[in-house]
Amino acid sequence: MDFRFTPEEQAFRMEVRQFIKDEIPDILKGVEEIHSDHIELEMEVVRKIAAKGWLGAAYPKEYGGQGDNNAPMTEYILLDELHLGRAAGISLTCTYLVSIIGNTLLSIGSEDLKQRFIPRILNADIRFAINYSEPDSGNDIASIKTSAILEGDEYVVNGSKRFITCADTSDYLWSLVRTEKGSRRHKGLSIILIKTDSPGITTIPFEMMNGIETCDVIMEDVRVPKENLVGIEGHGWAHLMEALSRERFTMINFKGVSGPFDRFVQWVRTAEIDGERLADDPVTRQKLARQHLDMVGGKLMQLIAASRAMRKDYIPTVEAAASKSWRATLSWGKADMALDIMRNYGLMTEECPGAPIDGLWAAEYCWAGHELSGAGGLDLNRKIIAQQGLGLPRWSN
Amino acid sequence: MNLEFSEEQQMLMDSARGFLEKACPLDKIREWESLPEGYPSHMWPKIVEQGWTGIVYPEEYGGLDLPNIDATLLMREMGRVALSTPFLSTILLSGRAVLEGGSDEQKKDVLPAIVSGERLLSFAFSEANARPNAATVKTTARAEDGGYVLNGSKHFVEFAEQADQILIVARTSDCEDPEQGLTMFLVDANTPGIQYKTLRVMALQPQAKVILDNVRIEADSVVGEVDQAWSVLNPVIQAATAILCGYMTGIAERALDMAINYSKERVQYEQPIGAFQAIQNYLATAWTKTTMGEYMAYYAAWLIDNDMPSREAVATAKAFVGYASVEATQLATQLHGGMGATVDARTTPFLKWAKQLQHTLGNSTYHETVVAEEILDKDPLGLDVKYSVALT
Repeated sequence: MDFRFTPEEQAFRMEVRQFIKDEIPDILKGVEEIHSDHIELEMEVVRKIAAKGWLGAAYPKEYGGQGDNNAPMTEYILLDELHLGRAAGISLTCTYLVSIIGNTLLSIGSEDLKQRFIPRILNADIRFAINYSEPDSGNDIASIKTSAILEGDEYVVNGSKRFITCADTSDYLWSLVRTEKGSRRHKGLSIILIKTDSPGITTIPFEMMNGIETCDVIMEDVRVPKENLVGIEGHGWAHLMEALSRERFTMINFKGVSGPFDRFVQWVRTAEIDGERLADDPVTRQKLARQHLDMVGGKLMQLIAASRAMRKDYIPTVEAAASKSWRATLSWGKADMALDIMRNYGLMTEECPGAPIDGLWAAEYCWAGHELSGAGGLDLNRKIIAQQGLGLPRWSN
Repeated sequence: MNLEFSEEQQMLMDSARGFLEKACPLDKIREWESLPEGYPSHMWPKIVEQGWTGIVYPEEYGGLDLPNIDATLLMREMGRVALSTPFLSTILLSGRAVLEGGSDEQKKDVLPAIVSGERLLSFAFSEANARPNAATVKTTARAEDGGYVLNGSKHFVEFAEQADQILIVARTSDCEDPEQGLTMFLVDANTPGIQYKTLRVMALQPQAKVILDNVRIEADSVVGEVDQAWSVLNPVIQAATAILCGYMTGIAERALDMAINYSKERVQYEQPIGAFQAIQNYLATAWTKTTMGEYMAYYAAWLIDNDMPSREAVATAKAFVGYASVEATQLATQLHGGMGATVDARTTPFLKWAKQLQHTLGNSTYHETVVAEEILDKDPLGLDVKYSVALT
């Protein structure tokens, strides 16, 4: 057991840290999610990351990767440092490209798809949106209705999707559809890649409480070449589970919670309200310490997942679900704690001159709701831990 | 960065688990609760036989010379069977204080004797404030006639009446800084003037209040340098606290195992109760906390083993594992329904132990005050850049 990075890993980490300092403009710092306002600027940075060869560390050389055996750790360090450098939005774009879609394509995609997409992914000259959930299908993703019926050499897609972040700024929709007419639940599902500028697609952006943007996607008789089927027709559920495991592990970095907390601790160290040092107040000290325990716990769970990802043929689904659900567990509580200590000053938003910590906690409070639902809700992730990790039975009617 | 166990560690855990599950089945653990001695004393020679009493001691004293993290893993296994032993007082506290502070002669006398199980030690440190800090010590040692005279009282001393020798921490000088002026003395437990008042505490563990009334002792009973005991004691207590977190993790894990297995078997409303989402939520959360606590213990022990600053990590682990193990054992009791609340419930020893241990070597609230000092009053440690530690 070694909680240290190896000298090579540490050198890579410091290189990434320096890169973030030099190459990521301030306007992208603190941007927690991908936002259409910054897409061009953001892709410029991602292309610089690609040019360093960091996106393709894990990928075979034949598709333009580096074929690095230590790749899960390289990928972990890259994403972790991006989060630490408050560039979560960029980390998320990298995750979409490399961890979720690239890796799943590599694992189950046809040779044609690999040749067409992976070099573009590793050069960051393509963008994807993940097109799963629907107005009536949230956590219960097996209930989706969007259909894709093969007619000749094309699928004809009909249906609507909701919470499809980046649908309006992406080249392709990585879509879960029902390819078998009349099929129910987990059966008859497939994953297909739909070009976003295909005729029949309407994207309607809307804003979340935390300021991020997401979309509704309406698809009416959208025609998709059958070569764009990912994996095997009708095996969509199994493919989805694989992609989701990767998503939970890489996308949900605990720094999104511990980073703001660490900034808060730094603030409390010197802050005064009405001439009294907050760091002298025993109640404040106790609350902060208690929250610190929970933060260390979350960071460790993430490290456990990262370490186990290095095992051969092991996706740390349960550990990632634990990290994710813990992050969600702390979501409002940590904001409640900070706002309580800051009193009314914490409610001043970033537009308010003189707001302490740039209005961080007013924003964090509004962000917290998203923590509970993104990448599977809190209860869904606990169910994964209970059923896959602890072997508890499923409910049967 | 690699958080996997080594092959040797896995072997240590497997063999310990195999041995302990056989030697300490759940119904025995429950029966031992009514032992007149207050703990299963017959287990100690068996533990000696396994070589575990030597885990942290150098080979020259008959030890295995393993790092603190291995001791943490071993204690986790003992926690899984809620085994009450003098391991903490004899091996991890007093014995280690002799190892770190004692003369060659003292080490040769004491260490082989405790490793071989011939001798038990108690650790008479904490007093009325029931905190594991230097300020707790008010007992005085007055120099007189070439020896010392001890006066004061020690609270909640584990195995005080069972031990052959007692390690007493007392004030030899009055200093403004409570960490100065402390001295350790190792004396026979039956030295005239030492009185014991038996305490009956919640978990299966003998404890006593030790009253020191003009206890005359020889100068050669001093362990380490006069007035300088804290520099030896502090790291010993830190390491013992980290290792104890392993024990607490074991308690929590076993209780959780029982709860999980019972939830799979117990049928109500025509379902195993473990199929209910409410139950799944409880167990998933308890597992998450227990696992995080487990690795906090490893992290703290690992920092100590690698000579890195560890005060924050030890306090974090002890506070968090305290909460997590109490919650896990409460949940295990709750999920066993009415049966969980009966006198004979197999979860009860674990429930009691978790609460007892949360208060051993400082409770969660105390350790939170230490955490607050570390994160608010001190400069950042720079573990990330300076030591390449992955926990940023």
